[in-house]
Amino acid sequence: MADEHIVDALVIGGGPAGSITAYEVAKGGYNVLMIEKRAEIGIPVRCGEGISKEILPILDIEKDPSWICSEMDGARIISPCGNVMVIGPEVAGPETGFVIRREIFDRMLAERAASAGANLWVNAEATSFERVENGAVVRCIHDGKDVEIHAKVVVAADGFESQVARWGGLNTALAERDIDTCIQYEMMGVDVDPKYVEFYMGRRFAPGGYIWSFPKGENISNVGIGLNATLIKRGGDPKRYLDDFIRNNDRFSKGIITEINAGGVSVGLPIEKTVADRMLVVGDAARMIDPLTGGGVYTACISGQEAGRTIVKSLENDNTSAEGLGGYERAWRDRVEDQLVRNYLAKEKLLDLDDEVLDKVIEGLSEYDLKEASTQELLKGILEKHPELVNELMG
Amino acid sequence: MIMKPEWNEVRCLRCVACVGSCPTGALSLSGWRIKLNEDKCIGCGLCARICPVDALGGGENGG
Repeated sequence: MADEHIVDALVIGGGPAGSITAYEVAKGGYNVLMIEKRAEIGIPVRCGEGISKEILPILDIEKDPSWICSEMDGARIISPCGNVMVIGPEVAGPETGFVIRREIFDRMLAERAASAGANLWVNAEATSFERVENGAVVRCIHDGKDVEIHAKVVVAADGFESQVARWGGLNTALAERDIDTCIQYEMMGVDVDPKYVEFYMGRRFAPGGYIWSFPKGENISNVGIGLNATLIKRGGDPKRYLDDFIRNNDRFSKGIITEINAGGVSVGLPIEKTVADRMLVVGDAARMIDPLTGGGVYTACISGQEAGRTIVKSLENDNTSAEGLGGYERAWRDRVEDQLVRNYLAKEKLLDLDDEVLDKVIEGLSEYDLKEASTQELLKGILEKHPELVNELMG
Repeated sequence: MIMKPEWNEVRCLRCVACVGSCPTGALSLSGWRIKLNEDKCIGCGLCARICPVDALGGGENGG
């Protein structure tokens, strides 16, 4: 007979989305448990570790050198033939970001949830979900023992590989074109500008994706690649493309790899329904990744915040049906959906561009006096320098 | 082509790109191992192609 455990809310997955949900529920005075299947929060890192500076006011946290490695001034975008477009600090503004240590960032968020009163189990893997009257039962294996957790509401925060939402009857299946597969090296001894992230665009470097360099300090950088799944010819392509890039680039070829991480990211639109009876889906599990950049931490934080706040209200009203939790769907969409849809459309365009066109676009933009880092402003720049390309981009 | 993935434990980075992309939820990471539910696998081969390091039977026959 399994041990039984009763909580108001159960959060499955201890990444940023899960921790922020748990924090909000605990702050609202309810009994919340977060379970993480791994033995340690934040490990392994599967991320480029770049994040917008806007995260600080949103989460109401201070800048902290324990998880912020470096602060960016801007970005350089490099075309297949080597044309460079610089987005400097006067243009990038709050859109620039930090390069962070994800394992410490994630740990900080989990500790913040625990300090607010949330309970946390590591080494706890959920194995099933079943609805019962007024709640749900999740079976899990915690430290090798079977446990039955009874909760009024369950949060699927189990990331890209989410199973929980599927158990709850929500469709999280991805089309092949909506998956990018990524691999990244942390490298030391590389020649990078510690204040600028770099993006290498085009099929030459990364079919249907890009190569990035996110500097973590002097001569240290996260160098990675994301490729669209439809353009991968056989397993291992991302590694081969990244290795070729490094070998052929003097600034990186002498570097030493100190860490490898990899993963999948969704680059489609978020799932259609993120709410069901007794269940909410947050972060990567709900496919809330920015399809253009592949960044997911920012939206994960927003969805966690809205999920937590909705749960508090639903517990106050004693209604965790899909209807009682419905406010979550509206709240997170209000805050991030427009941006995700805009960037999805931009990404779809980018996927179709030939390297020659991309060379011209980036060359044109490098000469244009960009006022802000927005899609509209970029299109204006292209219209001015290369009006003949706008049809290609808009068509 | 029908292929069931064969997991290469040494090469695998446990990044779970395969788990998240499997259209039928046939793969899972449990106890630091990738597990295949043979009943659910439809042999589409997506996991093998998506693996960033060739750890799912992409090797000799994946070209």
